[in-house]
Amino acid sequence: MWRFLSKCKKLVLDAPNQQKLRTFCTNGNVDVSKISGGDEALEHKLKVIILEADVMRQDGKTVPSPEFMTSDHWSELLKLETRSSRKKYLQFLFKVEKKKEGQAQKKEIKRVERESQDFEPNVDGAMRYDLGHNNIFLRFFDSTINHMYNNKLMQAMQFGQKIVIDCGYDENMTKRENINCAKQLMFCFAENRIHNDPFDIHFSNCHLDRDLIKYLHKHIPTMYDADFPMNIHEASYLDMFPKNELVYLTPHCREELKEYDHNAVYIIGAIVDKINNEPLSLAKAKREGLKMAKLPLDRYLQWGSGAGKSLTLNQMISIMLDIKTTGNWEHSLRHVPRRKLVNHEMQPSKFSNYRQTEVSNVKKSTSSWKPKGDPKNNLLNLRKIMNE
Amino acid sequence: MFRSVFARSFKSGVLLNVYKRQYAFVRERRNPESIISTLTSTKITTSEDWEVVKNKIFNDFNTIKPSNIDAVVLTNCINYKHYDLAENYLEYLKKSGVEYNLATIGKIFKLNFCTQNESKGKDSKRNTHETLYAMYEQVKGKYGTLDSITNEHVIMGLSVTDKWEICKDILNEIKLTCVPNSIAYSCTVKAAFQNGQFDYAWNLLNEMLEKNRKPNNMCYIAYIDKCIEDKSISLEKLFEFLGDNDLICDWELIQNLRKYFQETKFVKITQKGLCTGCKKVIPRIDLSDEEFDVLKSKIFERVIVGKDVFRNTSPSELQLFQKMMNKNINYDVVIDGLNVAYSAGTKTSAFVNAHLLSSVVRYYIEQNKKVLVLGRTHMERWPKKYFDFIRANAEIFLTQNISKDDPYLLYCALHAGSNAIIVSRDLMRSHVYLLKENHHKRLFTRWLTQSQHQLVKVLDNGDVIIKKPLPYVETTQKVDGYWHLPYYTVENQESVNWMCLKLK
Repeated sequence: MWRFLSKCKKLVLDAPNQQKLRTFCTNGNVDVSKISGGDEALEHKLKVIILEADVMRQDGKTVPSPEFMTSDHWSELLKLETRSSRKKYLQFLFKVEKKKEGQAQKKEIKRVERESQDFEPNVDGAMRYDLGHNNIFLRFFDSTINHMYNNKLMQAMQFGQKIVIDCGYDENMTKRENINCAKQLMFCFAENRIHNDPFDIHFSNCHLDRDLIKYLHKHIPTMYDADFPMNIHEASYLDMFPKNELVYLTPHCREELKEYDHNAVYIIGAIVDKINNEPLSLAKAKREGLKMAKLPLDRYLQWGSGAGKSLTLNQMISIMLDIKTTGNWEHSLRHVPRRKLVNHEMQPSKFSNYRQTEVSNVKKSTSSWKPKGDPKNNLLNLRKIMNE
Repeated sequence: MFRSVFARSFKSGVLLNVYKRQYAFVRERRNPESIISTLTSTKITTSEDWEVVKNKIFNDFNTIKPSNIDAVVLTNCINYKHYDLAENYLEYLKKSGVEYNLATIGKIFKLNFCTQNESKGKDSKRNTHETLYAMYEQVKGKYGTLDSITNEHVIMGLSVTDKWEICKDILNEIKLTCVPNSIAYSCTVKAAFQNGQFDYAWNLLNEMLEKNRKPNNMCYIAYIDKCIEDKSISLEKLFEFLGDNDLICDWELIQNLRKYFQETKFVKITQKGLCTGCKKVIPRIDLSDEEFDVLKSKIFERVIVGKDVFRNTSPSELQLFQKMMNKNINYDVVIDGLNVAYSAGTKTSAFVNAHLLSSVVRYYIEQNKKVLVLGRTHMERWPKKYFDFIRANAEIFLTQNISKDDPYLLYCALHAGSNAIIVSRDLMRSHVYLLKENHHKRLFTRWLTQSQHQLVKVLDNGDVIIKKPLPYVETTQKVDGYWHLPYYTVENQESVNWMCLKLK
């Protein structure tokens, strides 16, 4: 079984799970030489930056306490070039610290409350019969469900349509955008896995030593396991698939994707372009001479004013999954957030049984039920019945 | 683990306190005056009074603790100009034997600067100079290299003493971690002017502008005072500096200038560029040929090609463009086709768009000018009548629909020379930003403001109303020995007023 699974797995690089040792610094005990990597100039700069943070703390600014700061935080501070960016990063860390403190306090309160609740002692040694304890129902364990989803993905790898997510844009995004992109990639993978008919997703152009894939690894720690159904490639999609099958989906081009092609390999660019709005995916597709297409958003949806036409990656994957399954654009484009459109009412879809959440088939009547006749009469009738 | 649902219950009272503490710093940031009002509400003379006030602050403000109370109190006193209260607090600290932390020491230097400014330096105590310098030496010895915040405060404090020359080294120390702020630079420049080191001061001012730090008025005022003191130093250098760097004075600077000159006039400059004061016409400032070449190459490198030529255009399109440029025809007018066509709105029909553009083209053809129109290939689908007219009477360059046409427009207009007209309503600010150096940005905006015609309206009968540019540049400049200075008043920061004066 394992051999079969590992054959299906198309992992290119086998990176071991690294457990990072976090060095907490207490009362100014920062491991300066480790963070600066032996460079004297950097070491000097780091010492000055530590002093700067201390002065800001003494000045009453929002700076976290020394116990909270880790080596990773200091090395991130060292990379930032301006004082204002350092100040903003320290403010972010302060908020994180306070949030953690708040959560710890809440946890403490709940713990005290839980322990103060008296349970009935076991009567004659009988078991505790409860939803959370012993009951007649079979439990759905997480691992069982996960095995079912993974099995679906394995089948998709063998028989399903391939789709490429181009992760090569990490240098064009800031650190925060990279973190957001990694989270979207994680959602992408999850949405795909849960669907009835998943894609075989290939993450191409991945730089394993850079932020994007590192943060994705934090979200999905088992990413590099041999038996985990995720395809991560350092190579480009041009080396993996024939050029005539590739279609790059980019919002900056003119041609709309009118009909979904089941033989094409679509490419989605993993960019979060909040800050930089240059047409990077268009430029890449032009340079590589690939076919380009964009989703027919304007044709089927009335876009509201002031709403950006950028869609997140998980929304894209959901749309592609639905268009593959149904071929109906109106149904597929339900994944576009309604707040971006002009009228916010949800249009009911005729393919409602494809939805993941159970939609009740009971028809909701528009008029509320009212008793017939005079209420006083009803009371009299009731008395009559009771006196019989 | 099996999936299960935990019932959640919160004790709302205790939790509310948690939430209160979580967002306290946000609350305190939104009411910055609350601390100073606590400090000034009661009269404070003795140490016990201070203890009472301090306890009140600890109770009211969650973010202020014993570790940061000192610096916070001093900052608030200094910011709201209660210098006596600050001195009072420092004495209380000395009495209670508390060691000053680094932030407090920084505030001491800042306080010295502020009090010296208030007393206009008449009250220079030699004692403070020595004690300040001793304090600096002690702190420097303890920490080795100081951080940028403390260093900036030290510069402020030492610049008003006779040990100001150390500020030069401190500036270099700040540059290890960040670019020094405007105050640090300005204090050093002011001290340099006051002590006669003019070359150093002007170099530092130029450095400031390169690093986008706006010089504080104290620099200029120090120079003016020096000129009053020593008549051999001319104010020309200051005016040249203001003119070269497109710096517009504010009211405070104008007041200081008036105390130097007795005969300054507040004037108006007419539409034709005539000064009502000295009756001379302010000319255009034309860019030289070399400056045009520099701008053209920068536009080509940074705006058209940029980091990746495929982002704005493509190599094949670039080649076509270069072929057209090599024909070397000197155009008089370069029209931004799309900007003109959509000047009545983006949802207008092709008929309206084509009509607008052809009217503008006709307007310039009737003045016997050579016209070049830039646009995109979808313009070929416009009504034949209009497009054929444009094609017959003007040269057209169309880029692909997915390419940007603006960079090509700028290059063509620059190529056409100093008398060329560019017709567009777009101020090209995003393209100015891409020319990273301030010098190039200044040249570009100077050229654009003098060459840009903006389409206002096209009337029903076909007449075109165009907004022509001012025939002069709004910057400090000399005309026949008379200096004209633009300035902003306190009330009006949008349009410039002018002052005219003659240096002897």
